[in-house]
Amino acid sequence: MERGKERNTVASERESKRLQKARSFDRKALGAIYDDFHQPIYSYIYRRVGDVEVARDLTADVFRRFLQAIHNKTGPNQNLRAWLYRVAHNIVVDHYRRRQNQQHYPLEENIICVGDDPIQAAELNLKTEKVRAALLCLTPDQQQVVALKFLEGMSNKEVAEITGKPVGAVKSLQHRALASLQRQLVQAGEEVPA
Amino acid sequence: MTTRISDDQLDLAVSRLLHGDSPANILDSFPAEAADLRPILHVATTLETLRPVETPAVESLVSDRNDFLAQVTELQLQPVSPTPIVRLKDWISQQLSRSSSTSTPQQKEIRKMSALILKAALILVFAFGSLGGTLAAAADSLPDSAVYPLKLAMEQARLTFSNDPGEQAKMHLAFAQERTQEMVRLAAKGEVPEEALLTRMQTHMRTAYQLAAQAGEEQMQGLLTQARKMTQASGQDLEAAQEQVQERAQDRLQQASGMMFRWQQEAEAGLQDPGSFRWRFGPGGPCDAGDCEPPFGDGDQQQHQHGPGGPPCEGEECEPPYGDGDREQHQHGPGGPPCEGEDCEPPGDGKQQQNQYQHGPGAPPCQGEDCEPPGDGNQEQHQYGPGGPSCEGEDCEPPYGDGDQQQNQYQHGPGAPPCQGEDCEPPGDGKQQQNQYQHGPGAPPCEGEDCEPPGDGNQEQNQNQNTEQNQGQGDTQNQNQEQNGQGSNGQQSGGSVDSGGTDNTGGSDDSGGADDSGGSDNSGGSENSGGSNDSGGSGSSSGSGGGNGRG
Repeated sequence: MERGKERNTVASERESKRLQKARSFDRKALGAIYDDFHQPIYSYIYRRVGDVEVARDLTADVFRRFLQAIHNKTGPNQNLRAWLYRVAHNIVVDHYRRRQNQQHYPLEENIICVGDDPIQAAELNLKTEKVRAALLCLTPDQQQVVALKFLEGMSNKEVAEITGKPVGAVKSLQHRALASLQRQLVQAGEEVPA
Repeated sequence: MTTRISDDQLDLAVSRLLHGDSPANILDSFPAEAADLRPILHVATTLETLRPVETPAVESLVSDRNDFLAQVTELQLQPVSPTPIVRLKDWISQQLSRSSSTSTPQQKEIRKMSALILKAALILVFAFGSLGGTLAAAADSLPDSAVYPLKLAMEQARLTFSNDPGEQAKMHLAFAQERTQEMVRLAAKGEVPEEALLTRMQTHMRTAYQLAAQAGEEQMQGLLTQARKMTQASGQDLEAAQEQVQERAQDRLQQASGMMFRWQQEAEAGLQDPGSFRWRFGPGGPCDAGDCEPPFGDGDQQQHQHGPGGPPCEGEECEPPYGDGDREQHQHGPGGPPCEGEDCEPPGDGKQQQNQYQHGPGAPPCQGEDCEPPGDGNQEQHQYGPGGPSCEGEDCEPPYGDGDQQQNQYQHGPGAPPCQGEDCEPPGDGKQQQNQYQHGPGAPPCEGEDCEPPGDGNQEQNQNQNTEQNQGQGDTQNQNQEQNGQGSNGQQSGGSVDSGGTDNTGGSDDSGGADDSGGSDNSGGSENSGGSNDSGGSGSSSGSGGGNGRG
């Protein structure tokens, strides 16, 4: 247990030094950060959007924002991972909002639900897409908790750090998100055991 | 719709699922919630379908990385404009770590930090500039202004920061002049200057003179010359302003003008006799302890009462107003009463100050052996100074057997009558009040050899030199004028000279003339002085008789 704490402390100090160099636009430090976090962030986004090119673009947006934040002296001082996941989540939400506006969807998030649109659901063609579409019917917070916990395999504590919410709130969000997903999948014709 | 399963139970079941436990085992662990938990676990299992990630091509990944690094280079060259505080912190840290971290690239700034610091400096300059404006406004303020205390504080600060007594004396003179100007300006505005202004002016003048008295010879001369000019100019300003202001303000300005005139006179006296000035205003002197205030402060009234040209006084009201050396000076200045015979002897001791005021300029001339000069040159100067009465024969002995200043002061005050023969002996007790009115101004003329008029022209000269201020001294002089019938202008002016010595000359003139039978008038004067006849026995000794009467 203590060894784990020491490990976390060492990692935290190392990340802090790396961030300090990154704020000075140290090219090497920034490259290392990109290499460390590009794949997790890309995966997180891809699982949310299901498209490689979109995921690449959105991932590139995440790191562009990171550079801009450092440039403006407003970047993260610690826990860069949590900061990047939060930015990624916001970018995904913005992405779906832009798509919603482009397709003249109603503003209410739950109505964006793909399950309500059989044509779009047919386009998904796959069960995965049904689930991803059902996931979009959740609130952004629920989507974030579900994605981080069930897709990224994070613990409640890690989810709490990224979302900035208490662990109890994360559990509650998880409960409501799964119940809502169940309903959406049922509505989408997915077989859910009673 | 929520299930009956709690958040913690669901979280526990989900955790077991994510860690590879089978749903059946989990449901067995929650038999009561199995119905609600089963679909949820199914949904959680379904989410597993989203976990696989399609990775982009390696070229795309390399391209994305290169794009990222290109952005790094681009932003590195872009100027930044974060908050000023952040910039200042970074700028300071960069300046401090410039030598140690030369490899760290420096970001450009839209505006150089040095420019911002220059801005801050300008703001400070403007801020302090406004303070300077306030101080400048205060420097020109009047006592009715809110910033006037600031003006006084500034003056005090200037005095505090100056270590040179000469400079401090000049400052005090300047501040005193400033007070007079404030009075003039206040009066011009229709306001009556407060008495505090007069007090401040007096304090500045007195302090300036005290500092001058402690300065070197040349510096003191310079300071007194400056003081004379300043007081003269201020007095003229005050007098000129009196004509244009209200009556109430006129009184205050007149009062201030009189004060300035006194100080001017002090400066002139100091220029003529630095030793006396040093004694008066030096450490331990009468003015050092503030004793010389009455003639300048509240003694203004007395000045007019007892000064030359002032109203005559009778009886006890005609007491000499001055009990200290300062008063003495004016009583026994030039124009002192003539003395003849033994009374005309110089003072027996060599006390300079004593003799100076006893036998100031205009002292009665004396002739013969009795008319010996005082022991020191200074005494001689005043005792037998210009305009001094002449005396002849044995009667012309110096009247002062001892060095008691007060005693002689009033025995042979201004305009003292000539005395004849033995009657002209000096009073034996030396009591001031008695002797003052025995030989005060307006003493009866004397007849005979002893009563000769002053023999030199200095008397006339001193008489002409008399000023109004000098005329304002001593009721005895006024008495002398009236009692002697004011036979000559010279007598009046003679009496107006600082000390009674000039009165003496006048007295001597009177005595010389038959009119000075005016001596009878003088005897009348002796009536004023009260019982002067008593002491003298004769008419000429009326003065001494007055002294006895007082006694």
